[in-house]
Amino acid sequence: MSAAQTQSRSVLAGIADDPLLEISGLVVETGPARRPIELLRSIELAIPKGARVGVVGESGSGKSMTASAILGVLPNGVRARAGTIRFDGRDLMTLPEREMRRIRGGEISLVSQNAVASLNPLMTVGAQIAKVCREHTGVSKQEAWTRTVELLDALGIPEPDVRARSYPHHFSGGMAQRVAIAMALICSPQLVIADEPTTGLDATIQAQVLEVIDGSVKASGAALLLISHDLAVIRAMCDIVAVVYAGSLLEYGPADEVLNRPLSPYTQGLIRCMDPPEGEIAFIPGRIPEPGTLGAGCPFAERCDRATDACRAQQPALRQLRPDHWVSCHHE
Amino acid sequence: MRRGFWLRYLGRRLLAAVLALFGVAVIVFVVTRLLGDPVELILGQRATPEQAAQLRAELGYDDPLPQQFVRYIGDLVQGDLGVSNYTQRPVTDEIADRFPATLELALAGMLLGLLWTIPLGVIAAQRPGGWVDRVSRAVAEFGLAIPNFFFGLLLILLFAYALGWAPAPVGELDIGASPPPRVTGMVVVDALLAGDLPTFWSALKYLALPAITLAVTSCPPILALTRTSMITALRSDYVRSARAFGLPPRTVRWYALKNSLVPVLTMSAMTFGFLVGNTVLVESVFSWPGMGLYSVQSMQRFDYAPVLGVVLLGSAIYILVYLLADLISMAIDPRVREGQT
Ligand SMILES: Nc1ncnc2c1ncn2[C@@H]1O[C@H](COP(=O)(O)OP(=O)(O)O)[C@@H](O)[C@H]1O
Ligand SMILES: [Mg+2]
Repeated sequence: MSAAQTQSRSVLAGIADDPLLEISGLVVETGPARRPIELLRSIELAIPKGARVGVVGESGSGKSMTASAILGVLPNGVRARAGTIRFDGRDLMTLPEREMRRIRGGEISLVSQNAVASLNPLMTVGAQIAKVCREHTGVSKQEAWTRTVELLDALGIPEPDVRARSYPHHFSGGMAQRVAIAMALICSPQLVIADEPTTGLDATIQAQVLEVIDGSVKASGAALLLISHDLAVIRAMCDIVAVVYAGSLLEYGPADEVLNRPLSPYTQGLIRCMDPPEGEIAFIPGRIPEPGTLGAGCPFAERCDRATDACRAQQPALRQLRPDHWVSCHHE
Repeated sequence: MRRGFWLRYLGRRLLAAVLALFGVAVIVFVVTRLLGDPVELILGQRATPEQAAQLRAELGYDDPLPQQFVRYIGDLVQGDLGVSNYTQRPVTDEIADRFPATLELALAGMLLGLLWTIPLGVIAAQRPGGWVDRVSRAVAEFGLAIPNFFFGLLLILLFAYALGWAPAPVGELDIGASPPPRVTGMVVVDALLAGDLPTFWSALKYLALPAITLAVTSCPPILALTRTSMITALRSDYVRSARAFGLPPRTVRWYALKNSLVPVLTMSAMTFGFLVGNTVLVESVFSWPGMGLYSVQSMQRFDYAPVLGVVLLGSAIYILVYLLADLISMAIDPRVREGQT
């Protein structure tokens, strides 16, 4: 690959002519400004319009932090230092707070892991969804309520007009997740971010919730950013896969490419863990490095059985090795 | 369902309150009878045994204890708290004279206390470790550490004597000033009801220092709890999610505040009980014509009836304030409400 290509403004340019969301060079850090701790080191991501992009990586690799950065709701004490997040022609990093607020929930919405906890315990679920609807569309209370009940119905909640008047603690995990999905869809956003939407649910409920997400995203035409540490979930749902590790993007490409012909040793390890050879339990030895403990090398070098001195010395650039398939690895 | 629910709940709570008060009456009755012989105190050491026996019979102290108790409770349900052995006046009258002043002071202290602790706790929680947080914590620790009568004296020295901003601590009004027509018995309120603004202002000035004393020395726990529960709420998933859905900061803060309010309410009710207890000392520092001195003196004189009356009244207030806090909590939080069915 030519140097020009790896240094273009967006490394992933070319995956789509005009992606809906394009993150490049995102660095997110915490701690004192003099000795910052990098939580995200170099995140690249592109989401074509209407696509389903899966982000996979171990816990602590920065998946949720990326979602928070996109929405501009980083936790206290955490800040974005560099990079751009282009969404629908705007740079979200420099957008004034007022406009950013219109995007949150209106154009980009979030389904988070613990649905019950993500709802205000003192308000009925219908009132909360209707409130988000009114905030972004300005429709009447009556209209917002009607839309809420209709959407709950469409998402498979029985007796939606009764359930809309119940409080969050009356919902099971699966039903609460449907409520959270309804809140994410009520304003017909262009992008839905689902951050581990099924983690912690029973396997059967998990499948149902994934089906609800699948169906509703299809029906609304929204793009989906599905975050999960579970490669099986990503494989079932997504057409593009991004593999992140310790705050860096390691691999990105079409799902069948990345999952069937992985280029990064880390992705290869993840796939082996998902489908271990007969009679084996596969795992990647070691654990993800703590933020701030990484040197200049490849973040995965420490656990990689192919690591060389070159790997430990310099983080490999992200390169397009196959059509639409990028990897950050010195070996390919 | 709703009206029936609230009525049933209130009925249950009021019944429980009556039972609790009955329990208090039993305990105080027993304890006071065990403490000492009032007859000796009334007549003095030199009374003859015959005189003492006669008085004892007159007062009914010769009857068996259960009989005395039944008589006492019978009077009580008719609103009769008995007669003071010392002044020979009905206890209800004596309490009615003094109680409004104490209530006024306690309410003013509590109101001021809520006004400084809750907003400061909320602001401190926005930036834990920030300067508002550190200053408010220092003030709270000071208020908790300093004895209330001592703080009262400090305020008097500073604001009444050194600066002259507040009147000398001689009670509720200027000496010799005529009080407003008595309606509630609370001078500030009565002056306002009578439309007597000069008296109202004057009474407010007298009320200020003792109320501040109570607010500063009794309410710091409310500040600490508001701060902690607000910090927890601000870090919660639902607040993060409300922000992620583009709700305005005003709405997000309100979500967090409402969620932190339930524990704060319970703490406030507890604090109020504590504060009413503190008024005893503060009243004596400020010559406040309330229940403080009255209860202490009655205790020293083994004057049973007033002691029982004061304790019952205090307990009733405490129970009432708790009930109020619980009712507000239930109105705010569906989970508290459902815990009650
Ligand atoms: N509020 C915070 N302040 C500082 N560090 C944080 C905070 N939240 C998360 N982190 C750190 O950021 C890293 C990425 O976390 P996260 O995005 O939640 O990972 P993932 O979602 O992939 O499991 C982790 O190392 C985590 O410890
Ligand atoms: Mg996460």
